[in-house]
Amino acid sequence: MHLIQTIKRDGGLQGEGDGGLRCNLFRKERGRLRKAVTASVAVASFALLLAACSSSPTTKPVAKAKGPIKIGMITSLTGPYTPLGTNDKLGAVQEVNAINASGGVNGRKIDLIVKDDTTNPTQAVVDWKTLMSDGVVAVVGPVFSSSCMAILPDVQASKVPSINTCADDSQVTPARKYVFMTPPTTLIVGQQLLAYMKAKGITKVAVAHDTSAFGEAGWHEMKAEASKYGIHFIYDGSFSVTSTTFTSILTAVKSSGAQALMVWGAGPAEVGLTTQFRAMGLTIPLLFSHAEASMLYTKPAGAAGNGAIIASSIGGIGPFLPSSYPAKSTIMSFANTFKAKNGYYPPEFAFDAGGAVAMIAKAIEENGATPAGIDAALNHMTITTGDGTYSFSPTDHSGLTTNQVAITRDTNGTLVPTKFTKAMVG
Amino acid sequence: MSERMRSLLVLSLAVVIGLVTLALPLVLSSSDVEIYVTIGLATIVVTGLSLLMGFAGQVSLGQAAFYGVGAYTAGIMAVHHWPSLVALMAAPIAAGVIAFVIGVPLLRLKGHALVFSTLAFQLILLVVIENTSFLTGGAIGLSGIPALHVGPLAISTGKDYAYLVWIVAVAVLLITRNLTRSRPGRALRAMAITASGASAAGIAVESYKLKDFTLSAAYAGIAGGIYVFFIGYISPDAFPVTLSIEFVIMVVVGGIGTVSGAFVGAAVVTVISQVLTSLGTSPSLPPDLPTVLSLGVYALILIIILRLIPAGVVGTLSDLWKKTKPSASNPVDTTGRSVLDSTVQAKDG
Amino acid sequence: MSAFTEYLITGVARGLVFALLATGFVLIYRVTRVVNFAQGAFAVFGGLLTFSLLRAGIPQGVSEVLAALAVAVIGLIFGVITIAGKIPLLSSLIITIGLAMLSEAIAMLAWGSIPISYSGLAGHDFVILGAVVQRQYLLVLVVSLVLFGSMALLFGRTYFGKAMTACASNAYAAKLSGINVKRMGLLAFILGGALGGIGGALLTPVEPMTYNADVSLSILGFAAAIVGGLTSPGLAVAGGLVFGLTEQFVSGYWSPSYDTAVALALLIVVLLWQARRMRLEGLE
Repeated sequence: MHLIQTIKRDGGLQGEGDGGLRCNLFRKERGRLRKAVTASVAVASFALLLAACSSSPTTKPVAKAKGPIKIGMITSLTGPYTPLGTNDKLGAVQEVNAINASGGVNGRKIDLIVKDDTTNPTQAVVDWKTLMSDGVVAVVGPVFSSSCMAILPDVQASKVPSINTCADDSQVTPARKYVFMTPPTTLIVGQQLLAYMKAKGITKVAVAHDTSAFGEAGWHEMKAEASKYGIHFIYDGSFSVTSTTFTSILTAVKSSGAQALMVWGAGPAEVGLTTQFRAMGLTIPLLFSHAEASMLYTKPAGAAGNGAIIASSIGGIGPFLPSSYPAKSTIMSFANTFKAKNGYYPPEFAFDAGGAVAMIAKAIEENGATPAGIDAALNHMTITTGDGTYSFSPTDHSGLTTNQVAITRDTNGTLVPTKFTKAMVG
Repeated sequence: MSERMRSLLVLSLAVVIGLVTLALPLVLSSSDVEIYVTIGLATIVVTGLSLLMGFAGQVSLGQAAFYGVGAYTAGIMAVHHWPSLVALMAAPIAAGVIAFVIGVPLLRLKGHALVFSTLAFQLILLVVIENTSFLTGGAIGLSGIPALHVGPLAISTGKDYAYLVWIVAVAVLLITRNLTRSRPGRALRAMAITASGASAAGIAVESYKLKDFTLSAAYAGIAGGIYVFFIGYISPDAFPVTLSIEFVIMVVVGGIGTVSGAFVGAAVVTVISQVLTSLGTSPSLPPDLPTVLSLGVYALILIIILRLIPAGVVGTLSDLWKKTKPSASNPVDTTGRSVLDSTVQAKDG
Repeated sequence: MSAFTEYLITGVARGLVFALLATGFVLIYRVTRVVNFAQGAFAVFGGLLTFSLLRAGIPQGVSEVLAALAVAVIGLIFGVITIAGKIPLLSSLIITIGLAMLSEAIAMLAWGSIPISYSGLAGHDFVILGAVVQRQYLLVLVVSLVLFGSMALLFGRTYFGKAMTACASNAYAAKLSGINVKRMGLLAFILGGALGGIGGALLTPVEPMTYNADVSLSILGFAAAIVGGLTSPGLAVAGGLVFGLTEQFVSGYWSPSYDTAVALALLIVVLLWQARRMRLEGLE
């Protein structure tokens, strides 16, 4: 009611001129009317737009025992995380198509409903609520960490399981009800990189990390673990996700006498850092977390990236795994389909999202297509996906161990497992 | 049409619009309620920005910074167990105080130098937030923000927030309307047209500008405060420079210097971008499509709107209305004229 | 010492790239009074087009020039969309933001979302005063000095340049004296596009280019240009250098997390100082 009056009377600019007293009253009234019409047209067009926007039904459809099973997906198809989210979507869609082609789950097809969080946590919350009103039974969650954190309260409140594809440990430490994650945690990646350095006899290490949630978490977890591996961090420099020059960090690294440079960060900045690392004539090993384990890094880094040591989920080295390796066939069948369709080997994001779909499908097979049933099944699930073998428990919602983390070397754009990893996979 | 009929028409329109506004949260689906809240929040911010741009002739490309200051103030206080209503009230105060403090030096800058400094302020603020993690949670953000309580009443569902945000929006619109029709409002408008003229006429230009800047920041602050309780989590990612740009777009699309334009601009821009975001995500469609829609088509719509109706929706509608009633002389233009709001020179050729 | 030299040279090189972007802003603003926020998009197109031309086997040098010419055409198109007809300046500014978004969509479709880079000036990096300097920075230095020199000549010595300056100072008078003000505006957009395109082509080898890099590039160019009130090319170059050097030294001697923030704060101080000086001199 108040709003109307405001709009109606907001004649501020038009109603009152400083013309003669004679026609003031008249003009004021006219101004008011004019404003009212303007406002009503505005509100009407707004209502129309909103109606056009709400293509989804306003009533909550109850999940019925027949018809397709609705699974939601929130990912970043626009904004800075586009390259990640795009591959997430490709991976999830491929898995859904494969399941549907082989008859679906318990005889029912899967209907994947994809929402774009525009790399913005606010939009992720809107997306979550949209998916809930669409009546989905489970969700393949965001790839953008802030989006994962933003939807946490809603996930808990709606009691619908979300298998997130963001690499944020804090969402599962401690394990929260209904929240799972598919990428390896920064903790196990950090531990595996430390183990690699120890095996190489490296003890003095410099670190550069970006100030994103991922970069900060990775660095702090690695620092806390370092002493167990006899490693000392003798320099640490931070940069922003949008940084483009690293002269100062690299100069400091050069003079610090470090035996290796460890980089934690995700985004285009790491490519620039690599180019400048080589340009400055640094020859010590350059190590990256799994954020760089795809052609999204190796392609633009080009020759400069050659020789960089990059952690990767086990899926990243699929072609190099011995045929005796348990996850090999799962990885390669996913990878071959992906490569045939998209023309390149799947980056980890595709495995992460495809794996999440496989988990949901398996849970439905075991316990039926209800959120509670899926959640109960996930809490005790052991499953092999493109990222390796997960063992979830009520206290472990990540399910991977260091055995599913490979240490690779960028060899002309291909991630080739190091001897360290070859020994591990057998 | 007699005076009486006219008043009746106005009154009935008012009743209809009021009922629609009150009824919308009840009939909308829960995700559309979220969008409704988003539009309300944007309306609050954009009303302040429109006041600043249309009346005081100042463009701020950093309005999302004050939105962020409000959000962080309320969020940090709530996390440290302050009563949530106190935290919410502190949001506009903090944003206003910061605006006042930086406004004293910055408002000495004119035209684009001021535009630049507001943009720079936001970028600097984001860096400060990222590097004070002991307080703000840094890039990881602050989570676990408790629900808002007004006395014994918990504001928790989307519908609750829809009503809260529109109560605040109405208050903000009313304050702005009264302000623009009062003596300070006339002073501000005079200032937007010609600062030196206004100052010659005895208007304390600097002081009005500062008050206006502070008030618009306070509006953004209260919107930020509501936002943080609504979402329950904040990180610097929620306040990018592109959000500030979007607020300016809303002002211009709605119609600069018109109070209802703030609401229209916020609604039109939000709904267009929501529709575009929701299209093109279907599994069978190519993954590039969302970018084409959210960036390409959005940009095209924006360019077309501004080429066809450069004065914005409300500005153009009232111009049209004026044309149909030539007798209604109107000595004051709908748009405040400022350095940034005259016609392109190069056109003259 | 070597660290100092390294920061100095990197700072100057980056500052010159900002200056190239800034002079585009200045050129367009001087003639049309439009702040062109699509300036960063020109640089993005410059870098990405050069990449594609090099890939097609066109030699280095030729590729960069062809890319800059292509971006000049893009500049013309943007100019037509922005300034044709009667339109308030603020609306035209928002249109340039719209054009920047449109450019992102086009760049994403054509080149994808992965950062793109190519090797710059061939040959080894060299050492000055103990600091390793990327060879590409030398190219940036030479090219931008040549461009700034020719711009000074253009504005100071040619009829065309003087006509442009006339449009800038008084469009009405310029029109009376027979200058086609709108055509001058479009020419400014063409030149602005070419300058942005060259900037992007020079930058991409040292900093990989992405479809959405235009926002930060526009902000940096705007920052450098604002020092000269958006009208002085000389001060814009100075602004670019101040910005680039501050970033590097803050990054080197304090923390890379604060580099841009401090540089921005310093520019605000410079602007305030300029405003105060104007006031004291009664130029207001």
